[in-house]
Amino acid sequence: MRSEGQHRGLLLRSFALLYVGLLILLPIFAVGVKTFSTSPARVLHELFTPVALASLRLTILTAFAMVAVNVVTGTATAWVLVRYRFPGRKVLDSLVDLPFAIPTVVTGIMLAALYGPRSVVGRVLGRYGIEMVYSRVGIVLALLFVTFPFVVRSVQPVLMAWEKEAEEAAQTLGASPFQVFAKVILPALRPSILTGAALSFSRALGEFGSIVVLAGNIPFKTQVAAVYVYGEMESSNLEGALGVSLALLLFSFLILLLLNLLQRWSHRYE
Amino acid sequence: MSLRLENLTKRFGQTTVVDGVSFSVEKGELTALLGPSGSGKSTLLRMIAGLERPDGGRLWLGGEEITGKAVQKRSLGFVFQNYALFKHLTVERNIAFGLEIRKVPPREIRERVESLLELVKLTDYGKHYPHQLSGGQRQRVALARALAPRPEVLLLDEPFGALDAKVRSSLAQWLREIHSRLGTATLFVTHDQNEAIEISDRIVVINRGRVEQIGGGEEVYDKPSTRFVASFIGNVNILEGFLDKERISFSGVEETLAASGRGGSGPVVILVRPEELSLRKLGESGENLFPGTVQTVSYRGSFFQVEVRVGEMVLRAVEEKRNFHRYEWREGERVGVSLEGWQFFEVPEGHEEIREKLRQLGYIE
Repeated sequence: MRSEGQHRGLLLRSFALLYVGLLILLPIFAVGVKTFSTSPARVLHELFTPVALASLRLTILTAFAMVAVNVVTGTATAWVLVRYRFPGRKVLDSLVDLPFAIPTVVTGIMLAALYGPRSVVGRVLGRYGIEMVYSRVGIVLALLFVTFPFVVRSVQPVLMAWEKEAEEAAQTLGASPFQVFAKVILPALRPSILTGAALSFSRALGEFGSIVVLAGNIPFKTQVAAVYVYGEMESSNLEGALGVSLALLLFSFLILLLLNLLQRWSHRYE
Repeated sequence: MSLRLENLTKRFGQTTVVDGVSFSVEKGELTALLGPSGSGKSTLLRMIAGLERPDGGRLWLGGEEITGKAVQKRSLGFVFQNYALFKHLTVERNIAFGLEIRKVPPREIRERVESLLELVKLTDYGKHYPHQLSGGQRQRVALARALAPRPEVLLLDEPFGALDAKVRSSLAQWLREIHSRLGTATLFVTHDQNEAIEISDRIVVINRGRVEQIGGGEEVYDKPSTRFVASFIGNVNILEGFLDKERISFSGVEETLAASGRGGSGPVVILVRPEELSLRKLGESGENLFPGTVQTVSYRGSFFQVEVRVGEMVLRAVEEKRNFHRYEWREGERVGVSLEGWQFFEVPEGHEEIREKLRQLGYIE
């Protein structure tokens, strides 16, 4: 006979499954159904138009550029926050989360105000040929801003729980400070850095607000996938929107899969 | 090569944790650095390794001064209490670490790792990760890792402290064996006097950052040179008395203790080990026999511990099972306590301060 507790457990589990199913899986399913109820061939055709492919390519390239910067700056920031005590450390620590709190459209406006051609910074950069507004560099900048917390926040707890004795052991075995970092600390941080990287990458795939404000919507130049999808919906081209959406969805799944595999691989020694 | 410490000193803020320590460890010697927690022994070891910078004094390895030398270049092996293995590396790679850093050819590394795995009896565990091993096995890996680059001196910081009693003592014995095979000058920190006496050639007893005594286990146990050493090494009863005309009297006790050859008069402290006390039937006569009342009798496996109140003092005696069953002492029974040996200390200036310290450390109540 089942106890009351077991009944409650069963109920809770069923509810959790149902909720996740309705909230998350059902919409994904709906996109699939929609594709097949219109015309899968048209959807595919729309996906392979040069402008759609260009938007996807741009999205992925800028996301990669952002990730490359983020893994370094994010890890360094976490390192500074954990390893050093200095005035303003707590302020810096709470500032890290700010990009999550600010609406991304506002982020776009802030960045445009700072780097716009009429601002001081914008003019100085312009003199060196660097354009932030309506440019791809601007997209990377906006992505860096909105995804900044991911790597920091995934690396930080690992560093905090880290026992320094392994570093000392490496030192007594002859390792230089750089070797200690490269051979002992970095391998231990790798799983958390990868997690942060994957999360910021998937976040970048869907970024809309800050990019549309800072970089605009210029096909083949600054039009990213999410902005393209929105444009197609606006102009009632459902198939066009569906094609790129499905591609984005596929990427997201791949990243999730990759993340899981990476995590399993890096936890093999735990 | 021998390791020599000369007046080594370390301060943390206002407190001096290591205070002018000098001694040396010779090749082939296994030396224990014994002291209570907070005595500065670990800090001392970390200074030798270069993990802590001394505020004064010098360090010599062979003929070379290494006081200011970087950790990496000291050629010392260090074993941590909590193993400090590299979790992301297999046992093999952990052991190979120091050799890889030194750019030893891979073939040589393989051979060395293999022979070390054999030495620490972990031949089949090369491909395992640290989390798959028991505490004792991990510590053996840590030892192999420290030995791999063939250090001149091996330093171990409470190497068996995190292990349970049984593993601990077998691992200690095993360290002794390895040491006699390799002969590397070895210094290990411990707070466990039994461990120190069991396996080391020499014991450096340290208290409050200072060396109290240096000597072999027997010497330190039988001829403690300070009260601290006497009370720290082994169990001990601390008796306060008053010396006058070669006899010591105790508060509330009629009988006196013969202290022939001790001149002068004044307060003294006597330390008596439980095994130096024996219990007699009341009424027996003899020198240095004090009447008392049995307070508690407790069974301790191979022996009985009997606490006897004598005047205002409570003396702890140890009775072998065979002996005990001859008399079957009962609580409340009147007995005679015979003092068959003791350590004598005149109470110097600042008596109370020393007692206070002993009290804090838990050696007296």
